[in-house]
Amino acid sequence: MLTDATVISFIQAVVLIAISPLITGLIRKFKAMMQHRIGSSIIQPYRDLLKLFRKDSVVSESTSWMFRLIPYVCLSSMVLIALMIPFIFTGIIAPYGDLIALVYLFTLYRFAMVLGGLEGGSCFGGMGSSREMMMSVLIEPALLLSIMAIAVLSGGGTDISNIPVMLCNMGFTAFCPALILAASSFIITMLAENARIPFDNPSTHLELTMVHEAMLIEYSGKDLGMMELSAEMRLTIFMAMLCSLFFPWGIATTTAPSSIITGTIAVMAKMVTIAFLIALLESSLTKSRLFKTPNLLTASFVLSLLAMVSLYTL
Amino acid sequence: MVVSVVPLKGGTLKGIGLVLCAFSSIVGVLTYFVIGDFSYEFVIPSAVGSYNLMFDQFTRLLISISSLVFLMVVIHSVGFEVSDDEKYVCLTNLLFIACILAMSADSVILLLVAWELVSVTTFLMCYGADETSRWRYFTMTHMGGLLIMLVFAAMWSISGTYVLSEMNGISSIAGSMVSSVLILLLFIGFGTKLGILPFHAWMPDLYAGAPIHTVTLLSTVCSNVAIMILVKGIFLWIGVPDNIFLIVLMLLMSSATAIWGAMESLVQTEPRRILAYSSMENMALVVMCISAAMLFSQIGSESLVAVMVVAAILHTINHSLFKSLMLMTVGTVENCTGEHAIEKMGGLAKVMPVISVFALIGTLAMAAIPPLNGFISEWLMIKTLVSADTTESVLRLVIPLVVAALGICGMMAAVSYARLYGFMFLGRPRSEAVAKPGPVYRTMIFPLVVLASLCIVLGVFAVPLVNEITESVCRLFGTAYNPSANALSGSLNPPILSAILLVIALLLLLFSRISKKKTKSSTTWDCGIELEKQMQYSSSGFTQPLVHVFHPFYGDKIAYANDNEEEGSYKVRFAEPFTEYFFRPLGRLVYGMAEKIGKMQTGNIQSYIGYILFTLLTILLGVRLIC
Repeated sequence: MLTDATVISFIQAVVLIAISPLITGLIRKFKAMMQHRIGSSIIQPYRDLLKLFRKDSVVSESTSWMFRLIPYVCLSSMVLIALMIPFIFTGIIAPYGDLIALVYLFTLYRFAMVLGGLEGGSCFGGMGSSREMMMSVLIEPALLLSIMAIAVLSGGGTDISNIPVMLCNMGFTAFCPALILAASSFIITMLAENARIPFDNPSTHLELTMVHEAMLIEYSGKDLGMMELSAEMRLTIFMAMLCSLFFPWGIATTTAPSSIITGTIAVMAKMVTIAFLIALLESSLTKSRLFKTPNLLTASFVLSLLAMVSLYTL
Repeated sequence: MVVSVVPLKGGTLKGIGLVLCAFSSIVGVLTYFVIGDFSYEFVIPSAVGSYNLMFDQFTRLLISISSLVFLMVVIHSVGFEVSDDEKYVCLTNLLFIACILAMSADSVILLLVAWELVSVTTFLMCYGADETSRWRYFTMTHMGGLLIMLVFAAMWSISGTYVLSEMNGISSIAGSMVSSVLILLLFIGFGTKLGILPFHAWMPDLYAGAPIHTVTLLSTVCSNVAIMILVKGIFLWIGVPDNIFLIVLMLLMSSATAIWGAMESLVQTEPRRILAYSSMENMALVVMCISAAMLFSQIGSESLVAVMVVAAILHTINHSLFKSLMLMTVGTVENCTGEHAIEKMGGLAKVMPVISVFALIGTLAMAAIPPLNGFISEWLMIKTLVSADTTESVLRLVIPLVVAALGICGMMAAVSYARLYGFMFLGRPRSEAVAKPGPVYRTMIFPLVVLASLCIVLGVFAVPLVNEITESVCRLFGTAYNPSANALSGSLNPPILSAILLVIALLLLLFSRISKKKTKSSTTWDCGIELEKQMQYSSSGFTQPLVHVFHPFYGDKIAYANDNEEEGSYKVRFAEPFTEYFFRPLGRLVYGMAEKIGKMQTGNIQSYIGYILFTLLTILLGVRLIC
């Protein structure tokens, strides 16, 4: 029952969850370095979370029974996704959902967060939810299409754990236009989904530019900690998906120790590279006006559609 | 506040009617479980042969689901007050019979009569809706009925039999062109009931004005009837013709309808209108599945045809569950608060927590959030679409576009439902009536409990239902049913997935209990200003960014109507572009022509005799020339 593969896939899910604050810290550190600052330590996000978990929370009188449940829904959907995606090793601990289910679990997270923003009836929360929903109408189809394009490209169906294996086996033939198009669409989606520049500024609070932070305005203490942790996990999960679904080369396909060690080194190198690229992008771009973001989002949607079309027509 | 004593509003006659209707719908629910396949022949002497009924497995499945919805509607309507209660209940009974007859009819005449009866009863049951929308519905649905009548008459004359089950794919006799036309007419004919673009123009206004139970039945049971006859008509009686153009046209129309429905539902300001457009969107998805199944049968992937039809039927069933749940929830809220506009609601989750739980389940199911039932059918649609393996290059372009359309309308619809729930139940109350709602009766809650739990159960344990549908569809098509080749087996395991989700959530909850922190209650953060009830996001403001982005599709026109309740207040609503820019000019054109023709009407008998003579001569000459 307890095979090597199960143990390794469980460990990789735990690692994925555990390093998510670290990834956020890493991006912040890279950004600080690019701006010639020393910046805070890369383990600062852990300290922040710990502090939040130790605090009491304040809940608005206008909120309903749902308000306190939302952090749990958000965090558990993210933990479930973490169990569902390959990271170091192609096996997964919870192979009960496929890529389509994955996209819809992200929708569950988003739906819960948006409803949380509407709780309490403050203008900030409503505004954050409204903007998040505007973006998501364009993000979500792009996400679905780019992931479907990869599924069709690999020929492994919609099973998540099949895709890295199939892509690795394809070798250089996998480098077709569809992969490039889908990956570029996915990168834009990743930035938009995780409220990064140019869509949103993750380091502002209480300014009219914000989307993600505005939805969390009524949360405090432990609840806020859980929402922050799930947001950090979402970023890490997206980066891991980019690593293992779009560029899986190097991922461990067997449970042999050498394979696992290569897989760990490869995935860590890829994660650090992506974190560096995100930091580079955020340091060289500015947050764009709200009504300019649809242009980029539409571009992402069109790229993913082209990826899909190119698979069927080329 | 839940009150257990339910006053029966209306007289004893209403009570008897309700009991009768409840009894017959219980019998209807049992159809699937108790009796096997059977057929029955009404021996009525008539010129057109006998009237046959046929209950095959497919029919019985849909009859059971529709009867269940019917039963719930009947129970829910006990505590409601409608003008002319007795007549209303009588019509409800009649509608039930009409729906069952239309679903099980095996003779052309019976089917047409029953379908006509469905249209007429639903029209009569729309008290309260304004006259324009009622007559618009009447006209459109009868135009559709006319097309359906034409199709069935043609089928009769081509096949030479009035028994539907004896028509096995008349397309082989009729040829590709004729059968394509027949299918298109059938599609448009039932499309008027389902709300296919541009025949949806009757829906929002009628949904906004008619009694909630009529709306519920119209949106769920009548749609089930239409979908069922459409499936049988296309795949069984007529047979899919070899015409790619027709299929692409149907796919295009249904995708356009789905996206249009989702987009328009974003700007509606009444829950019922949102649900009207949502109904249109969901039915368009079902028709999209049917068209995709036709496409698959053309390109030779026979195994996928049945799966795609299963997806369509599964979505029809799921739609009838979550939509009836949502419509009745909205009906309950309206009944208790007296408010119809979403801008006057808000904060209901605090004062009506029980109702809000069911509304949330319905909303999540509609938005296709896992692990509820709406998700399963959307999953099946996307999964089947992308697993199509085609070689024909033109069609290969179609599949990604359909998936894209599904993605866009799914997400837009989700936004619209988040808005529906968020502004009805969350936030702070926007009017006095909503802050202190009236009592809720047990009879109003019971149907919601049943439907909400079905939405969860049929989502988590969807596999048995999918098996049943697959079996019935396979038997309908006469293909071999292979239980191991379940459409849901393999990559998705909803029970375990939802169990894991639940376990994680419980573990987190347990974990957070270890260090119990104090929770203080305070006011919403207000920047130091006392928040008034209007000082929160409005539902129109919520979707304003989206309207801004998709501006060209909405049109600028905003309809203003005076609100009688408060001095100086007004309603704002986006006008439905199809009504404003297509049907109104069309109506004006027809009126204009009628006025011009009306000048012939002089009142002079001599000239009338002249017209008759002229017409007769023309007809006789025409006949002479043709024959």
